[in-house]
Amino acid sequence: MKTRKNICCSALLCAGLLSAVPAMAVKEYTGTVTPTATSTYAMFTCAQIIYGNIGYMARPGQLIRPEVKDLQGNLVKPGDLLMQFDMRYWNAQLDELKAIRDSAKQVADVDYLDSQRYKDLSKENADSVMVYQQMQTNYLNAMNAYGLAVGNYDEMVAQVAAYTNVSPCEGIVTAVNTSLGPIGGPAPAMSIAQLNPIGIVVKMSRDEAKAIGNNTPVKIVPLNSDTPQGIIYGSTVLTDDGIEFVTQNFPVIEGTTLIQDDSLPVLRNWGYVKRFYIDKSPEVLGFASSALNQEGDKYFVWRAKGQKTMQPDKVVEHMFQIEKVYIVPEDLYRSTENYERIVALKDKGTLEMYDMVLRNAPEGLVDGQKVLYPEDAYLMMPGDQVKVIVGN
Amino acid sequence: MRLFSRLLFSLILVAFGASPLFSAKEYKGAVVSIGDETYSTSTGGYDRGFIITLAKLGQIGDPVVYDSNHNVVYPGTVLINGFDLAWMGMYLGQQIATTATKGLQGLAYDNYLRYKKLYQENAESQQDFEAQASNYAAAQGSYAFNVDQLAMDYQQNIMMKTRAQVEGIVKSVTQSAGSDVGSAPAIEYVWLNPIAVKVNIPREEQKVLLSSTPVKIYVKGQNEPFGIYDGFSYQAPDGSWMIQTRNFPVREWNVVLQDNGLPILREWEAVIKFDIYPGTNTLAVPDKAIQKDDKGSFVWRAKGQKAMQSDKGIDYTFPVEKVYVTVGNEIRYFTGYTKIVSLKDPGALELNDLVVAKVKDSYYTANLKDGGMVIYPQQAYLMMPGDEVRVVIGEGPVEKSKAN
Repeated sequence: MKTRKNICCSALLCAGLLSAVPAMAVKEYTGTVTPTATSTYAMFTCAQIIYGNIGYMARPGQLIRPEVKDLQGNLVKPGDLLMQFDMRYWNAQLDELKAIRDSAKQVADVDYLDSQRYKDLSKENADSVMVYQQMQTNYLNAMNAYGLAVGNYDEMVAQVAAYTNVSPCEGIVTAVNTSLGPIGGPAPAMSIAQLNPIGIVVKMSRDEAKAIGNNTPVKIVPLNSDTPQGIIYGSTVLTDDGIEFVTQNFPVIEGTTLIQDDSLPVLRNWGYVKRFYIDKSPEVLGFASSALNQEGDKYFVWRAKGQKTMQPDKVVEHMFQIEKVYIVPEDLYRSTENYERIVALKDKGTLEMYDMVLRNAPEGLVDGQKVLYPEDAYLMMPGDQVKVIVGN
Repeated sequence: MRLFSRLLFSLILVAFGASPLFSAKEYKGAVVSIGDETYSTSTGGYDRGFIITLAKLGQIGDPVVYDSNHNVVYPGTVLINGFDLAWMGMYLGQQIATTATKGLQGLAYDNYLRYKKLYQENAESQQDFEAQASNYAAAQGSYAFNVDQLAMDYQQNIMMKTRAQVEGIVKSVTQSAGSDVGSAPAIEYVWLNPIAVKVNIPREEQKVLLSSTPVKIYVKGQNEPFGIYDGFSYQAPDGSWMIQTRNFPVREWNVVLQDNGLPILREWEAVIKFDIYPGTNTLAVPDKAIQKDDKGSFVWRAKGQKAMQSDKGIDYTFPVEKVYVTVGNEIRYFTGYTKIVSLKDPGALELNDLVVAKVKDSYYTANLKDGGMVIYPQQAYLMMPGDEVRVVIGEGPVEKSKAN
């Protein structure tokens, strides 16, 4: 009887274990790294200034990060700027609408005082009810105008804020389709692809895909790596010819070496010193205007110490010191490539051709400080072929 | 004998009359959606459309439920949470203007009554009285205009939030938060119920199909066939025959989700590092995962379930537990469409734990209990676009169609 009980218990236990373990046998596939979301920006307006005027564009291939704010909405850590209109027109319009709103408020306040005074006067029969009511009419008309002015101003505040696009995610700029300056029309201007989390698309039959449930373990082995990682279970989707898994992704210094933390500032946005003119005065140098920093009435740039671009026999290191170099800029600007505005130098200081200078420098950098200049890459980049192991 | 002959003849007539003209044949059917929607956030104003959050890729969507006044009773799935600040500013300004014009209307009415009396007593002219009547009419018009404008602005604000109208799945996400999209597509949303099955039937066979011809759909993993919605079949432009049937959300791929009283929660996110570098220690959860009660802030955690494990997936049914946390003071976007908030003290929460990420809609979490079981189903319906099914059309013994 006892033996029978044991057999029954064992059978139940086995059945329980079998039902708990997914039936999927281990199978290896090749997956293609694919962004789970892309975004195309077509920055234009329908305002009087035709379509708008672009003042800043991120460069193609640039890695981008989102900004960090506190819970009150104040900026804690800036994100990477993607695109921004030339804000002069919009700031002027904002000022104009603010002046109209403030003026309307003052008119309404004065009309209110008048209305109150005539109320007292009419009570004391010093003036007619009709005149009092005319004052009330004036006040309410002023409030009507004030309400409309508030609406117009608030709308413009929100709108002007929307003319600065900051990266919404960890990603990469995959295409830039427009230049600085006036926008040609409502055409795409920039595309980005999200890098974290990232999709892994595997081709397989629908029957195979439907055998992989949330409870089926999946390992992803990145290219040139022996270290597997899991997936975000529950985010798996069917595709037309297979399945797409979603997993986490991480920025690397190079290859598969992850950047563990930002104890060293991670600085990716470097420009370089170049000739300002195309075909004359080769001694006049220039660099991206976004590299220009001001300290009182002096100007300086952050230079990568001992690093130069365009050297056929020496590459740029991933870690180096930065140094402050004082310069005197000329009041001359021009566009170069399709996304950068360079400024000419009246006095280049110790700067030399092809020196690397930091664009959009964060605050708090120190002369002589070591910084990290990693590859513009994450562990898994779109198009990588990775090993995918499905099942137990 | 004569009677028998008559009876036999009648039986034959009845039998022929009841028989379908279409003898049973089996075909391969391809599951296809009957609706494939693309949403963008563009508007006709200066504001070309700005996104705060988006539904994520593969998200199964529930339709919103309204009452007769169009108030949201069941929130459904928000596909696009649009930026409404520009429109909200206009709305608030319009509220001030509407209040002012209401006051003006009241004053104009007082004047109208006064002049009416004065005119009747010959103290004022008919012309002056009519001028006041005209003012009053104009004030009424102005007020009515402002009321309507306010209603329009209100609707505009509501419309910045796009909710799923049908059962479906997010097939692609082509925008991120903050995008000034200028009418570019943001989300592709594919309907899942009802669902269509596309069958390649020769045209001559289609011509003899009647609405009374029985059709059975056999889905892999299901013992019983499904019928179709009669009267909704049609010939597709490519010449194939499209039939429609009911579809069902599943718990696992081939297990239809039954209402057994357990909350069904689809929106979960993993606990991650707040910073983008793995060596850092501050943990983060989606801001919409944070709930509050008398004891403080907490999240609902899936007990015993973790994302990113290479040797273990997650279960379809598990208990949830309340984990108290102390929220930090930093917030950022994680994906291009979800926001995360840092945790000053994660409590018992660990990296890769799964937390419910839709608690701001209290509908979903009102019934959650500490230790209570919930279902986290596969993000799928029984028939998904691209599936192959067997379709049997007609009655009698099945013969394979030459068309397949």
